[in-house]
Amino acid sequence: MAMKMSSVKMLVVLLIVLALVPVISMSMARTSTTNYCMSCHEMKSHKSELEKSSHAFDKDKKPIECAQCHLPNSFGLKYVAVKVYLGARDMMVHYLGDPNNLDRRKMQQIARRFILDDNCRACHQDLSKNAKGEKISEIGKLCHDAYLGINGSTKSRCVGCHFNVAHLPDFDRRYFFNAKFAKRLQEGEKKR
Amino acid sequence: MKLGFLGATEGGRIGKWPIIILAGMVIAVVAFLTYINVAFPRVKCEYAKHLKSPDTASDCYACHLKATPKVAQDWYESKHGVMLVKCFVCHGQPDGKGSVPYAVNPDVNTTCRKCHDPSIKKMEKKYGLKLECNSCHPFHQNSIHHKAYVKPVAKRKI
Amino acid sequence: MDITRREFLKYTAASSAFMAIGGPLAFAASKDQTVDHWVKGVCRFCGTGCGVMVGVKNKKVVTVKGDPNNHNAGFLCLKGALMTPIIYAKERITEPLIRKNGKLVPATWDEALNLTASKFKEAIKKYGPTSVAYYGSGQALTEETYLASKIFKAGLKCNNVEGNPRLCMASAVGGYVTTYGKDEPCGSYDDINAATCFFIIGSNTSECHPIIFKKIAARKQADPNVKVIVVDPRKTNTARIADIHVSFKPGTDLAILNAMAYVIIEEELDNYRFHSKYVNFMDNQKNKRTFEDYKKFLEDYTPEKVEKISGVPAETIRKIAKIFAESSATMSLWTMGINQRIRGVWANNLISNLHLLTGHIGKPGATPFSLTGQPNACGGVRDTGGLSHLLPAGRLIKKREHRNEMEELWGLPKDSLNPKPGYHTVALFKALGEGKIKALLILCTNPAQSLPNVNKYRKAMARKDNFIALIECFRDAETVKFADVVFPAAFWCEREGVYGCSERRYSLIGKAIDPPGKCRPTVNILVDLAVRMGVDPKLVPFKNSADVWDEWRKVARPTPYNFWGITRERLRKESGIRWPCPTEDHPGTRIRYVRGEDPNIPKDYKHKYFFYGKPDGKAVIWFRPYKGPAEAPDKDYPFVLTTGRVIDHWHTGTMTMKVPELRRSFPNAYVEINEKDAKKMGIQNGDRVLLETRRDKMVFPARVSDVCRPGLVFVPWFDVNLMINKLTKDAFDPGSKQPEFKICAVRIKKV
Repeated sequence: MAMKMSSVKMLVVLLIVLALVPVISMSMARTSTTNYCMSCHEMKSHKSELEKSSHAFDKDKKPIECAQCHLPNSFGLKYVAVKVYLGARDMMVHYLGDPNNLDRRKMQQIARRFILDDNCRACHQDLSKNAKGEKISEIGKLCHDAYLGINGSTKSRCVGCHFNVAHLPDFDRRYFFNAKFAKRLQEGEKKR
Repeated sequence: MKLGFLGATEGGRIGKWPIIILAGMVIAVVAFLTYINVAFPRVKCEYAKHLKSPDTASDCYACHLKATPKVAQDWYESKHGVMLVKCFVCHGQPDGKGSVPYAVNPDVNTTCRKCHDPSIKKMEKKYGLKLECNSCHPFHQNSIHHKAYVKPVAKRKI
Repeated sequence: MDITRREFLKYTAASSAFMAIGGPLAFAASKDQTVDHWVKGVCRFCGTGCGVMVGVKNKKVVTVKGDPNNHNAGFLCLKGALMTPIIYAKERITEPLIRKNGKLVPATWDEALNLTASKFKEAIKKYGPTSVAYYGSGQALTEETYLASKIFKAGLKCNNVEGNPRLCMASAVGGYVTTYGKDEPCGSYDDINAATCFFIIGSNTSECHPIIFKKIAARKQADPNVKVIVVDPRKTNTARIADIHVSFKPGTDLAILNAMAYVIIEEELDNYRFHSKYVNFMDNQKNKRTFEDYKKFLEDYTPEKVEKISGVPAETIRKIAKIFAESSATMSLWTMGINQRIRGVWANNLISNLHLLTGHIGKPGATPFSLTGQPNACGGVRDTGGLSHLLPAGRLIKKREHRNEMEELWGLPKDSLNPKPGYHTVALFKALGEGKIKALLILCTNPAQSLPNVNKYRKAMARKDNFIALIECFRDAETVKFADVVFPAAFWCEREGVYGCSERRYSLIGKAIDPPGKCRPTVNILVDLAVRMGVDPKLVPFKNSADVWDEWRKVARPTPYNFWGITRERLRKESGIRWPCPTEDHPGTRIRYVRGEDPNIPKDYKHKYFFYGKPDGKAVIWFRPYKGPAEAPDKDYPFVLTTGRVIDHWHTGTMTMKVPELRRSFPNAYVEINEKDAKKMGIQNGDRVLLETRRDKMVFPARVSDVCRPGLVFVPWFDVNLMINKLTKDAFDPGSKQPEFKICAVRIKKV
């Protein structure tokens, strides 16, 4: 009798969960779009930086979405964890913090943690070439060899060496490797 | 007979369920944060690693033998390695606190010319001014360098 | 919240990294390397004597590069290439300092000079001229050493003129003088390009004379048949290009060298025609003996017997002896491993024996060649007579005719020079401790770190009743702590002067910049001091180092040390000239003791070789028996401790520690232990290891490697905080008076 009762209950729970899955995943997918990100005004400046950066479009000229870099690309535990964590953080800052005064140095560090190598490698498959298909420099190749474990074994991830590829806060503009990006941004600001 | 499904109690007293659920939630949050910390480690900037032990930063070879064995081994077998022209002579210090400007590609005028001025001048006469020695003589893996010392003792297997 | 705080810390670290890389990159881009002009000079470091060009811009030294016209052909080692920061080190002394109430306080030149002069005068008046002393250096200019020697020996009639070459080259001097009659090597660096066999013993050429090592490696690369034999208890970087590396029990090299001579005679590889004509055989008591006696003497040193002493397989000894003798031109190179020994002179003789036996001498590529440790030990001190038993240009204080010759040249009354040789270095500092020396002038060296068993001599220097004047550039030099007066000297390229390197080559250091603050050239300081000490001003009529150089040429002219043709103008034009050089159109001498090469030998001399240092013109093969080190390892102290240099640092690190790259490369001393020993004692890389000798104990970080042989530990001596010389023994060679830095017994313990 008790057995039967509990199995019925289990069935009910299962059905509810099954019904929730599409709802949750739908909402997760909806809240992972660039449009949703842009619904908070503090994200607008990041978008404008992205548009000037080398990561504005992929090789099919399709705009690159926020989530392509900032969230794990495959649905799974990691995805859910990051979504929950970053979402909670963003909400906290949006409602409880001061969204007009973001500490971008702190944000860089947090964002960098959640940009997985798989995200980068989804587009950058051949590490001996850059996105335009040109061969990379000899030094760069040696570094990538070390990353791939051919020569040495660095424990660094992509973002350990590559930063300021899509966003460029003011304080990073002085580096020589950001010169082009900074120039494009400056021109954009002048026009406005 | 009826069991409270979500911790409802029989006889009106508060059962153990709410406490368990509360504890479970706390555990879940802690577990979640732990997971976040473990699964998404902090990414340290590669350059920053050089700042960790600035007092031994010049012993590049010791670390790079593990981090980038090919480059380290190429240096070790090259003429520069046999002559103990160490990394910092050309590359400077990663934290820039050295007397040589830090550079991945050392500058010909500030670095190479200290020793190779006569040969650079010779090459200039032949081929015109080139400020990139590296394009013809890769610093670490030069064919000239590699077979320079055929003695087996000069090489060390890693 | 915890995460964010940690992240904040991380951001700080990372952003400082960003700033750090951003700074130098901007710097590199903006730094314009064009210079106003280049000034020719010589490297400040080791005895290789590489020519450097000093790049000056806006009256500041901005860079250095190798001199393409000097023997180094434009190449510099890492120390030489990174020399610039030393000139502008913040530790430079820029004004005279006088110790008042235990503290060094700035003073005027007059105060400092008058105080020093009065102390010297007082000491001479009260206790006689032997109560003052001069301790010079192989890093001082030739002119400075000559001048100081003249001031003390001729002006003050005091023969206590010593220098740190006593710790470095004295045994080589003894070896050359006993074997050939005259000091200084007979060959030159040119021989490296002609030699077919290199016999490197007791020298880590790769780290201590990198450019010479480069020449050897280049020679080996050009001709793979060239053989390199490295005989060293440590498997150093030099051994990387070696065909054979012979590791032996430290201190047994005398036996090995005798065994090699045995094998050479046994295999009939000796050059009978050469040694029967040009060589005398002499035993230890200076009695003339025959070749047959020599054979008999060597019977104690069959390779089998020596195997038991040295631990080198008899087969290996036979092999290296055969390679040595069979090659068409063998060049031996050695340094401190042979010199800094209780029987250093003997070891030097034994190497020369091999060359005289096989006739590997006086031909291009065939020469025994001793490398010097300091930039001007060879030239400045040995040639100009900066030691207590010498007068300039190889003359001896003991010999009356030499003294008389010098009295005439210096314009002194006959027999007025003091005929008694002064204290040698160890005795000098011992006398200082006993209160026999009341006033001491130290020039350009750091004895508070470089003497063996240094605790004892630091105590001597710390005595309250003696007066120590120091001419120095850097306030963090250890000896400054003991000085009563410090004179700020012009450094390296801040004044003009001449350095003489290992191969008898003299090159000029041009003046590139003005000295900072109140610094003055040492020559002027010495002249001022001498006049105030009451020395006849006619003895020191010098305005600058060029005047001193002209007098030195005059003094050396009547001797085989002929510098007459090496004029200041020629030195300014040319990148180094090798003496003997009798006339201004003479190109300098590559090979000595050979007719046609050496200008000291008449062109129509009847024989090809003439060892003119010896009365009968014959060199000597000495019967030198094997003798072990002064302090062999035993039950209580089972390990052998040896000291030496690393490529990054030079001497006491006073200069190289100012270069950030070099300082970080080796920030502190370490102890190098063999893997097997380390395993036995459970020592791992980086562990703290206690080294204890009979004199002192000290803790070093360990470096476990296969460089040292089992039973041997090595500690470099550059570190001022971990002064290994507190542990070394001050036993010295009875002939050359050079202390045995290289071997003492030690016990080690993990702490």
